[in-house]
Amino acid sequence: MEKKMKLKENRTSSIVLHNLLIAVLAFIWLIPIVWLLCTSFSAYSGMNTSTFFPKEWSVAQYVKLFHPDTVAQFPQWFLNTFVIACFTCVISTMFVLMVAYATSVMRFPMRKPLMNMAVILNLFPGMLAMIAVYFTLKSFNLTNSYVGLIMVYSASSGLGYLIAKGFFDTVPRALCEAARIDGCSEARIFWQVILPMSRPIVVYTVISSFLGPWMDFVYAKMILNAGISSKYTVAIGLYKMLDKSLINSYFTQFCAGGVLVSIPISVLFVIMQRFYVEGITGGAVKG
Amino acid sequence: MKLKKVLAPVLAAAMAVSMISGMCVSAESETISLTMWGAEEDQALLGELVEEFKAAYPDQTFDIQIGVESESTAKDTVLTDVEAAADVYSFASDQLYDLVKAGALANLEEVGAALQVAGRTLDDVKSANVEASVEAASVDGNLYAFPRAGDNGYFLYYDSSVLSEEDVASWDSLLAAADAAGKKVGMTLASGWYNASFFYGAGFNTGLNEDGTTTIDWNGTSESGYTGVQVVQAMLGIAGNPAFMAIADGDISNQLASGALCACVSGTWDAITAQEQFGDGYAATKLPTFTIGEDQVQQGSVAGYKFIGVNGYSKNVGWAVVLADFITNEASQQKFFDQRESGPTNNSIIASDAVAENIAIAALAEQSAYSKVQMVGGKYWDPSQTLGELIAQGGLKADDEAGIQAALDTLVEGVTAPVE
Repeated sequence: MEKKMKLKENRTSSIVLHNLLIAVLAFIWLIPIVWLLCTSFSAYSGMNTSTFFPKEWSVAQYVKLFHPDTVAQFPQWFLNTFVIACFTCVISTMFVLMVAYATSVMRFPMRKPLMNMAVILNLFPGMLAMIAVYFTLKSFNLTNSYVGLIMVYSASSGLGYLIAKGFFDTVPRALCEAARIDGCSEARIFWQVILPMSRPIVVYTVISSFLGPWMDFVYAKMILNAGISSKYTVAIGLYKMLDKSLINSYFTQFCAGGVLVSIPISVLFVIMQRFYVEGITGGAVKG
Repeated sequence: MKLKKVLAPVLAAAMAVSMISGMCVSAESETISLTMWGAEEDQALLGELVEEFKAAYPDQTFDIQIGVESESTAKDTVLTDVEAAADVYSFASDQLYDLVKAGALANLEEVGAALQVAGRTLDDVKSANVEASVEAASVDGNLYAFPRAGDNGYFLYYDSSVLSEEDVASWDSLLAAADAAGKKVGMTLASGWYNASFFYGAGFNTGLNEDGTTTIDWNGTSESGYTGVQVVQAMLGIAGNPAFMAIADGDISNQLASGALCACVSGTWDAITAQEQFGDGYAATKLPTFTIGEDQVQQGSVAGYKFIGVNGYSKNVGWAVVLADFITNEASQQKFFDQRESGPTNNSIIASDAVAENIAIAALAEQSAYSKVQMVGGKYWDPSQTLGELIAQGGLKADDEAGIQAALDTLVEGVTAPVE
């Protein structure tokens, strides 16, 4: 009896310890985010690291952010980035899913070697090709244009097909064969049979291909190099606010911008999340 | 049917893409298109000046775009792709040599004839601006840029309600008075731009060779007869004082705003913050003297200018030269001073009363007697920053002369290393 009690006590205390550890880790991870949020509501425009919470609270910097001046044209940057991200999202989602479908469902010569090559190519960091990409774009007069940027973001996205392919592999082959017997073309199988059953991976692909351009700094900085403020993306614009001559008057606006940037991502996730919940093949194949 | 539904947005997207790309291509043959880069904070004023420039030449149609590029990073951005860089751009004087070497600046002696459109000559430009600034904008006697501002230097801000004019004359009295008031004096030591001030003050030098390497004599004895070890000992004495606060590069304004400082070494970019913080006590003056043995040695400083240069690869060099000259002429510099509190290089504006009454710019002018243009190559910055950090963090001991000498030898070795 006593032993049982002891065991139970041990169990409870280990649960408490585990949870405590998790709570402490969560607290540590959340500090920067809480700090960003708090600082963005500061009434002081510059950087003040002497206190964690701002001395005076205000939404003034958010208001300022939406009243552009020559330095901070946040609404314009937001729109620019949003347009770029949306186009990239559509194009690269298509690429990824189509490549994944082809490699998963269709059978053609050189399938295996092509797949291997794609994976190996994708292992190289994209930054390696940066200079080559820049001069190629420049010779086509595509630097300082959003088209160039969208092309860079979405062109090689098909190489990241592996996860989606893994998902398509789990869709019962019987379904595709049934559709084919009924006279479906590959396109129809893709659009009307496979895709509706693969919502989670579509959601995952959409979100990840939206996030890439939304948060990219390196390529945007390289390609949009004319320095025209109204053409910036959010990442470049916010970065420019941290210049030593500007940081005093724009640091809090920078934080506010950082908070606002997270909104479209959250919205996208909330919209897409409900598709995650739905079952994978939702009872398409019966017993 | 459903396929059509999916295709429609894709086609719409494709159309929109081609529309955007279509819009990117524009440029008429008659209009002169120029791009100009200037600092973020100057954008509004540059816009105004460009409008005036267009109005000054009504017969010519211009398409002038103004981009953002801060003076301190201009070199890196321009040299990334000189052809894609702006036709006219603003940069800090220490970048001149590298820009000229890369062909990113047009030799104004060759293309300066274009100024006759404005009824001026290059000699007018040279005589209108402070001699030192013209010298700093020249390589081998050829002028490569138009001087625009001479405020890229540092001096001492102080709170005159805490410190008297006698207090700020020397570091010893300054720190003693600050300690008595329970406040601190801030300076950035971990930067070769700031900590060179002690060495320059004691008569040491740096120099730049043709091949981009740096010469430096800080581990020996200076013209004035002081040794590098003595200078470091003096710096350690200052850094070790409880009233001294070593501040990371770029963090001065933050520390000013926190209210802990009663004085700090900084430049005109912190004028507004200092003014807000010190209120009625806001004052500025030349840097104090520091003690080596029995002597009081005036702390030197680095003088920097802001230049406007013309891209050597510009397709409209002539008009670019005229525009660069317009942005830097007397009327424009006056506007920069009025609106941006930017220290002018134009002789007649410097002589005006308004400049003398501006506390920060007057202090800068006072310090300029002890300042010099810092001639160093790219290898200078890291070792000198390390030395500053060692001093700021007490990594060296004042009585350990051999240790200090070793640190200085390491510095010299690192700075004079060949450029790969």
